[in-house]
Amino acid sequence: MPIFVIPGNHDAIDGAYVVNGGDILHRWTNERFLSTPHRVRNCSGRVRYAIPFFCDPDQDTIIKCLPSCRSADNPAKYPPVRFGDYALWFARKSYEHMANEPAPAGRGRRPRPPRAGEFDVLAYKIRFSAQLPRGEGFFMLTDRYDLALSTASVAARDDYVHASDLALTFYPGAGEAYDRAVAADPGFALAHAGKAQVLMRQGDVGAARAALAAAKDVSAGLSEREASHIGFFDLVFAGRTEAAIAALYAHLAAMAARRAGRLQRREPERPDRRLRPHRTEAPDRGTDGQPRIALRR
Amino acid sequence: MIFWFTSYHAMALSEDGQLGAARAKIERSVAANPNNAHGAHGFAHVCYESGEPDTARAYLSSWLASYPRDGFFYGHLSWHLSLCEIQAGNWAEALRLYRDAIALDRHSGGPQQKISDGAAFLWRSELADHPRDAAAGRGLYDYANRALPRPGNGLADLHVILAQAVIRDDAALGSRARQMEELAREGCYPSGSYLPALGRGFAAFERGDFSVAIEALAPLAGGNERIGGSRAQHDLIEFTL
Repeated sequence: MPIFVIPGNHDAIDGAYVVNGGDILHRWTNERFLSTPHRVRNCSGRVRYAIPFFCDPDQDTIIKCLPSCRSADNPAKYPPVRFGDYALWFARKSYEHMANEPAPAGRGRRPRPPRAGEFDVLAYKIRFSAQLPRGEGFFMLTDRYDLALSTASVAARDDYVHASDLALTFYPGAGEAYDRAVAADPGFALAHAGKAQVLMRQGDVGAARAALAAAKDVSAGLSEREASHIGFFDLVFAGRTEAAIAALYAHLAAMAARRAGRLQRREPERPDRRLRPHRTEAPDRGTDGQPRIALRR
Repeated sequence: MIFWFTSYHAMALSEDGQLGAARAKIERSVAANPNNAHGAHGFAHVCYESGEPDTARAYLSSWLASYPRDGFFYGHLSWHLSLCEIQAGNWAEALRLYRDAIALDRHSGGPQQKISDGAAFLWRSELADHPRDAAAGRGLYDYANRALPRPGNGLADLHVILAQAVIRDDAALGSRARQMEELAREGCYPSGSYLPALGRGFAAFERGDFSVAIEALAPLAGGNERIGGSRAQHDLIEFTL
């Protein structure tokens, strides 16, 4: 298996998996396997799926330099640490909403210490479910700005995000992308509303009103923010400019209040941000939250 | 998202005359996302307001070169570029831009942009002593009646009025003025009596009744905050004077 430890950009290799080691392997192997700085960029010019798969040990696993990775010349660089403690330390320092998170309860047993050369994965899970509830569920798909969207379709969400990027910057193709989002999930209210906005500015008033009506038809059970978003365009389309401006101020104030409330309660916008299938454009940090150096020797 | 908000904030600052703050903001916006037509638009406005047509000209020419021809703002930004060319004395290039991207059948925007940019270009070209393109004026007038039969957006309505004045359709001007006043009474037309008065001024100008035109237009010049838009659009009122 070729292992790249060279910093720089690596093109995808056909038929190969790319496995990025993290901080736990870094500590376990005494830096034989490095915690690599990695960031996956989408250079295709198209929307594409990223399905991250994380492989972590059990909370109680003690991460201690493996005997085969240390010697008199190369002593252990890191003291042993319980995985759960390390993960919590990382989360607290990286995410504001985790700052006061209590330590997870251990299972009351000490793990068997690994034997020389043993390298077992004690627990793993696929933190992803395609079955998404609508509304205030455990798992919400979000837009580019981390705002929850009432759709259960990842494809619809991706087309919506793409359409909104194009619509915001006045690049062509937004209407078609909203159409694809609606085709993937006819119940996706904000995609109908986005299409309405595009049609209106193109001067297609009748079609714009029909698209906004479609948004309202499927608006039962929407979040307050989404309902208010649609309500704003309803006022604009009705020519009620001053009422629309007032509604906009109310919309923004409510968003700010919800955000402040979450921060005060130290709650994340969603129960677990990592559950979200995401477009991997943001820099990926290691579990220590620091930009990492790959090559030390 | 910050790139989008800052592009609009910069526009608002520039319309309010806070050019230094507008310049800093639009530069941040464009740096954060160069592929944003609102950013390019804001930059063009800030340059126009700051009296830097050459900067705007260089920027817009290179920006439009990589912007899709069917992008919603291709027509409107071509109009901005044409203003810079007119200011630089390049009438031939301005006319080329008009024929390529501003004329009604070439413009990539919606009805409001098509009418505004087309009518403003034709009016400015006449103010600069170029001969009237009667067929283009008639085309805009017909399109405006069809696509924007009722008043709504003040800035677009300004240009609808201009198209109507050029055709000397006093009946249409009068009925649109009444519609605006009615909307204003219902609280749905914030600019109130501004555009009806403007329509009377343009109509007087068209029939050569300059003292009436000046009497109508002079009090309106500088009052553009009532209908939105920027000096790039409203200067045509002052230039008419």
